Amino acid sequence: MKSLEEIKKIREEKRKELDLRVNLKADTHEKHILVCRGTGCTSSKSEDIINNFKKLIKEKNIPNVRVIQTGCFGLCAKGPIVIIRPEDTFYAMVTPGDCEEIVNTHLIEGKTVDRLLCKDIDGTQVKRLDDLGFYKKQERIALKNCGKIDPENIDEYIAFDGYLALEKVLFSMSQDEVIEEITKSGLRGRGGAGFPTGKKWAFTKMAEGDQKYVVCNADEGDPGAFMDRSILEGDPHSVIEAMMIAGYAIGADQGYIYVRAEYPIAVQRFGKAIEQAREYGILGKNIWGTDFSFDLNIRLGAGAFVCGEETALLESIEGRAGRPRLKPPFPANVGLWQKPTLINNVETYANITKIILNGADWYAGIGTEKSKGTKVFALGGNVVNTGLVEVPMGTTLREIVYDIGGGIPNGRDFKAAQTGGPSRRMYTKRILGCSNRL
Amino acid sequence: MEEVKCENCKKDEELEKILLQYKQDKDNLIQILNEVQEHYGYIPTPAQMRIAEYLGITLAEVYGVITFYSRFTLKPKGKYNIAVCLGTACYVKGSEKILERVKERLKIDAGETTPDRKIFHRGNKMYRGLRTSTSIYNKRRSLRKSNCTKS
Ligand SMILES: Cc1cc2nc3c(=O)[nH]c(=O)nc-3n(C[C@H](O)[C@H](O)[C@H](O)COP(=O)(O)O)c2cc1C
Ligand code: FES
Repeated sequence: MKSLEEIKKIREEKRKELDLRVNLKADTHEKHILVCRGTGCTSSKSEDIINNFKKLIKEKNIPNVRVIQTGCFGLCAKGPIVIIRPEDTFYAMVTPGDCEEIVNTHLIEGKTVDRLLCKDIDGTQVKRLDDLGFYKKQERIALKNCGKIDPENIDEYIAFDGYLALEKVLFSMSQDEVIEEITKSGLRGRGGAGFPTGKKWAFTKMAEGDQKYVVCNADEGDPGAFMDRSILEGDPHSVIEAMMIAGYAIGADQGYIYVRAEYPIAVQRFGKAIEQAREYGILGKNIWGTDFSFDLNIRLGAGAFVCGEETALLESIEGRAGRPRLKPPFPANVGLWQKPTLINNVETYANITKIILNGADWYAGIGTEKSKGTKVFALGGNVVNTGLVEVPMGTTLREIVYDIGGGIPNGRDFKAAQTGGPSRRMYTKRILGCSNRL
Repeated sequence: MEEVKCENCKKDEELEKILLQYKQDKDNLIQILNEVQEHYGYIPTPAQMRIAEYLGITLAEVYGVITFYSRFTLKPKGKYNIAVCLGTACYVKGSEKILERVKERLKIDAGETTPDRKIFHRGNKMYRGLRTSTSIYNKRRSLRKSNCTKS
């Protein structure tokens, strides 16, 4: 159990300690070796890389070096990725066997291992991740912490303004003010239908009922998609915090996250995050001495695409086959166990804390007239840079495929692209440059 | 296919241990089935009956949920799981022939497991992600490859 004062202290101290994660000129003798433990890099042995680094550092007795696991950096095609901070050197396609050379050359001699640097699309050698064309047109809001913090360490989340939005909401905003802020931001649901999030929150708050629920849809069943998965794996606390804010806004004290069992790393990390939040007294009764209580539980899916649909998902949480219910009534009025229920997607939640902290106007300033903010895409298929990208709404398909994706391998011609999973259409070359059709 | 002996008929305590973690509330059915599936590799009939009894629901309800979700199986899964993509793109590239070959070599149909419990034929799923997020499906893909080339 930690008091609000103690959390503030952790934030301050840890932020100083982790300055080297974001500041190239950080005043420190320490070095942090960040190793990607996203699903892609993990399946190409990044766990062994971490163990090798730890072993070598111990054997060679190198002081002030820490090895840290992070979530997905985005450029999965070049994984496993290792980044050394504060200098921000970016090593691509590292194998467990490369660790020794990195330790000897980089850490001991202080030189870069040129062999493991990445080449950009135009052939130039790139030393920093941010210098890659891949990142230049991206804007990371939902993925802000992915690849920056250790997702299994709540202190690192707290260091980068974690649970600050919750504090702001609990101590200085009314329920209606929170909903108003989200409405003003123009955020729309990222689960597919694009329903205005603020409106949904308002409906659920207005619904009558003594018990209400907050649900997070992490069933992400579209083949090839791994946006929600990467957020849960790379920054689970941001979803917990946002669900708590939603709970406060609509008057719910219990949340459920429905995750597919096929996402074992996400389930494990999210479970650990819940435990840590409970331990710190962030989840629980009368949080920080306020009237607000909230707890959160995981429910596992069992492999049924249709359970991503919100009413089927509710059926599944209640322990039945996931057959969609008739709508209306909508879950906002009659949801989980017939109680008013707010359901949002993982990525929708991942935007909430940033909107609360930076203001609705800031968020509404990004994107297009009707679609605000950013969208995360899992980029796959015949493009050079497959991986996870986040771009402002209104970015054209051409920019995503060519400027970020690096175009088609071997300089071949573009034929077609599909956005938004199997239920969406194919886009051909003809409309590659139109932003309003995406 | 030779019937694989249901191990939990003897070790019923294992099932009880799983059950005891959950309240006798039918909301917990899927959570329990997930654990039973994980533990035994499938959901044996006696276990189904015991779960139904424990939660106070009918066997039909338990069976209905098991057959709805693809993660649950009524027969044991194997050490390796194999699936052949019959999505449009793979189909035009001849995946049906691969499927025939898999069936012929392993002498099992979709949803069955080889007698040595090594290979489980998951059925013909559509893996549109296969070519896309290479690393994510790496494991599955290399497995597919090796199984197909061997056969
Ligand atoms: C067949 C079907 C599958 C769906 N799958 C998902 C899914 O995997 N993840 C998701 O967040 N929403 C999915 N949805 C949309 C949800 O029903 C719901 O609109 C969404 O979770 C609401 O959250 P949002 O307002 O934050 O977008 C699906 C809808 C349908 C009809
Ligand atoms: S999983 Fe490592 S970069 Fe995406």
